[in-house]
Amino acid sequence: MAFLNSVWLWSALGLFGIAVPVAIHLLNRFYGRRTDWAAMELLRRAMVTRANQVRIEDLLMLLLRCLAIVLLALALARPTIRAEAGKWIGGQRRVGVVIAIDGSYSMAHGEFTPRFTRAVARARDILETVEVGDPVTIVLMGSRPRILQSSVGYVPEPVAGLLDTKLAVLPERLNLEQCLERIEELTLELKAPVKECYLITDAQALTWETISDKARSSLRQIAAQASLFLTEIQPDGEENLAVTGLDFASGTLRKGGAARFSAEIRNQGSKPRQGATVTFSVNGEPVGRQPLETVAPGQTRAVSFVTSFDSSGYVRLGAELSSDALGADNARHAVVRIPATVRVLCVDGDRKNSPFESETDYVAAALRLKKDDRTGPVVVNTIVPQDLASESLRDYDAVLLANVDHVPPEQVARLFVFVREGGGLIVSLGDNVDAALYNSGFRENGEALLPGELAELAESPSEGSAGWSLAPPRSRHPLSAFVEFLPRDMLDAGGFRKALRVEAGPGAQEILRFAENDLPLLLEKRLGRGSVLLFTSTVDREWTDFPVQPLCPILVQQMITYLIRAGAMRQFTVGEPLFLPAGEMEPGRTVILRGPDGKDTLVKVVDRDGQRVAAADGPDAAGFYELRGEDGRAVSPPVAANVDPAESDVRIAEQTTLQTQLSGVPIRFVLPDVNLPSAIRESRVGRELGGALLLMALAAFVAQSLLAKKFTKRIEGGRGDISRTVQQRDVVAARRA
Amino acid sequence: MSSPDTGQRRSRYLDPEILSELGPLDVIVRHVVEGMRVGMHRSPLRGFSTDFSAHRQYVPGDETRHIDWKLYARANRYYIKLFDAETNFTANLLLDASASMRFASGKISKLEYTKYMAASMAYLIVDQHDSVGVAIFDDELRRYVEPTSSLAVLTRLAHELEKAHPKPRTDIAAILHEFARRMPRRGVVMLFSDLFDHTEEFIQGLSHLRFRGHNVVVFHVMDPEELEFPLRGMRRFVGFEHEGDLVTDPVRIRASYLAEVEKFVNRIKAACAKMLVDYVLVNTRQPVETSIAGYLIQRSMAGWGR
Repeated sequence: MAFLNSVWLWSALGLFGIAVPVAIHLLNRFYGRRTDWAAMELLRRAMVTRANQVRIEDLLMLLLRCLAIVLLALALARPTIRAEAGKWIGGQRRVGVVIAIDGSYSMAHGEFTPRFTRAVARARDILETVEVGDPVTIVLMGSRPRILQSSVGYVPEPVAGLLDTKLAVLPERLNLEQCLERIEELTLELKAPVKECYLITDAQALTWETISDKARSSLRQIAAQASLFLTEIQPDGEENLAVTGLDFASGTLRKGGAARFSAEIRNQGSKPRQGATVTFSVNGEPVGRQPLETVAPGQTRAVSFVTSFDSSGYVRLGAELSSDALGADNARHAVVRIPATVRVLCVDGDRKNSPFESETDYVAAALRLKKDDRTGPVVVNTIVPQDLASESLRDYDAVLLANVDHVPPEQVARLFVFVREGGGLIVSLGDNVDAALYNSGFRENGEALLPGELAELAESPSEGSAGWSLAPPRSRHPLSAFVEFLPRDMLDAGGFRKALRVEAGPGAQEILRFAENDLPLLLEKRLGRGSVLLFTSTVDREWTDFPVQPLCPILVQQMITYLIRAGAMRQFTVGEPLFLPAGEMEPGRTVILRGPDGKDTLVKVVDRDGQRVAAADGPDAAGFYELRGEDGRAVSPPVAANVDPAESDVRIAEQTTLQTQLSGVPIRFVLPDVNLPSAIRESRVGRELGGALLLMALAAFVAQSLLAKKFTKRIEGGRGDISRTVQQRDVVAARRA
Repeated sequence: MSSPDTGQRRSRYLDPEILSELGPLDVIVRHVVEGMRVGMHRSPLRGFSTDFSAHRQYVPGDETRHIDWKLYARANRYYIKLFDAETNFTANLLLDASASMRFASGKISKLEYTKYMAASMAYLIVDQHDSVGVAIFDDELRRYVEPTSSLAVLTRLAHELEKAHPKPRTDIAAILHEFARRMPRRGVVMLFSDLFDHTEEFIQGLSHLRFRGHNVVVFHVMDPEELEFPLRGMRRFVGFEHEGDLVTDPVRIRASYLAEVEKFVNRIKAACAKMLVDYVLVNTRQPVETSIAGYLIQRSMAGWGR
């Protein structure tokens, strides 16, 4: 037997309820209202006559009252019995149902009939077995659970309307852990003797072949309180071609420049795919269509296009695949910022008057391309460390700290803000750098600005040798990918004699390293919307001959381009919280968020990590989003939201794998060919006794009331004033006489 | 007689609870008696005597009920029967002033009611030129006002009752025995009491009085609550005469209590009937004059000269 309401609460109240009449009964035996009385002898005789009868009546009344209270407390605790015996005592068969439908976008897959349509049909099958008034909860599972109704008494028409209008596939990946956690709570909240939880899903291999311990634990918890069913959907094929990425590949991201963008197309199916085309668009206008070569199962192909930028500003890019069985993953969006001029601030820690003697001369030359060209696409401003405080960092796209001995804390704080807002920072080392000072100084609230901890100096042992060369890149970082395509002899030239050892910190990514000693040369750490690059050697010829190598200007140019791109290209995943920079808007102000379908939503400006941003729960459609003012003009740069590409792998988990993954969880698998309503009805046992107990309690109350009336009715009728009776009798007798 | 609870009665008679507001006892008594007398003979208590003295010829104005019909049958003339004490009898009113008489469910206690009733009876007796004495007792005789035919007896009665301090015990039998011994000549004894005493001993006392040839009237005074027992809720009953406490729900024992009351009344009534003692059960809710008039009518209907 189980209880739908808190048995402890109602037991306590029931005990209290029993204690009250018992206490009153006992107190009444010892205390009563004082009444001065003359006819005590008559009273005593009356009591002696009635004593035993009264005692029995009292006991009967007390027992009936206690019984009524116990039954009432039990009824309010709503006990349930999971046995057919319940029907003999008038138990009601109530079923509480949680229907959780997988709404991830893999459910939209289908050559002819989408999986989701079949899932909704399964939900209707389940609802056929539910009686009117039974509590029903309907959940749509995505990156987070959407509760369409929670423990609402079942009425067929509104629920049918809900299924027709509110149930739709979400452009999201299924977050099984989060959804199951909520379903566990919802199942617990159901008030019914029989609880059932139906998970209607395509049993996508991506999710169900590697179930986490947390999800398994939630499933166990659900199964502990309800009959748990995994209702599988018959898939309509597993073939799918998806755009899994759209990113900057190479080129210059500035006004007048041109860049190549690459779209990744992956075949998630089990058959080779050919004949598909990819259409690229810039600001909504198609700029090219490319046929796709045959893509083998599991293969990813890159398709790229080049576009030039005649003006500065934000450019919306799109790559769209020709239609297939799953449309949600056929498009990818990106936004790229194109500055009019790239502005770089070089903070020179070893400033000298002679040309190419200063720390940053080679970098400046590499960026300007032409000597003293101050009107070119890249503007370099070189200053000494003391002047850093007087510079406005917002005027620059990137900052280089080259062999700077000390950066005051307030300047470190400004650099944190600069990077978080999308700026790029390059830190190069040298003789002026004190490793311990850097490690402790470049921190804010415990967080490091640099990608790693600086350690001791490493030197090339052989005097006069060519020094260390660069190892072939191993990471998938864009800068690594760029270096990988360069001729090998450019890497071998190297010429590095000294470098500081660096222990990569959390979130750091190694881009380049030395071939001879495996020490890192270039590392990256992403921070906010920006990025920090740490160059572990000097950018002058003090520790290396790299500045005079052909690779140097190319790498410097690419580093700057990469840093600008890092701040320029920003993509969100559908379903994740969305934050758009709100400039100087006051926190608490409401602004309009315009979505890809032109739908406007009101969002609030909040303060987040020192930045003012407009926060939205999470975009529910892929495409472009931007903030609009009351006048309808854009007040923030647009951002792109894309579906999670992992979900496009629509393969179904093998039944045996599924059973292995869920071994130990008391779950019933309902295969697609099973008649669901019959299977459900056969599995149901259990009744709620609350109603029957309430009736019994009522009967006990009525019985005790009737008995009380019977025991006390003598006061209402019977013999009244004896004196009058006696007088009347006397008169009658006298008349007779 | 119609029910004393009718509206007509209420308008004609005085509520016992407002009697005390009328002033001195003699004023109250006059109100009571004069109110009662409308349509009644001037000397309603005549005929208590049991001693036949002689016949005299009937003259117009005599009550026809006193005509000796047997003599008429023999002599074919109307003669009236005359008794010794026909015009002068002595009545002693015995008032129980024990603690139980202080019980009152309303504003007026049994003792106060008894006071008005006894005074009214005294007034009636004196008013028809007979003598009346008053004795106040509890477990012994506390006060005694010698028989007199003066209305001053009313003042004495009020005065003595005020001075009396009720004792928690009653011993009616002892008082009756004492009076039976003390009264030199046959007379009328009117007892006003709730009779909450040993019933059998009380009956023996009555028997003693009757043995001495006294006419005895028992006014059994009871409060309406004692007769109807309409109480509700758990009660702790505390006796006036150290009987101890009793805790009970009155509703639950009402029937058996009323049965006991009836049994108690019937026992006394039966004993009275057997000894030719007039028994009057008085409910203190009724107006005093109703109680007295009821008794007088009952007596006149039952016949005189027993």
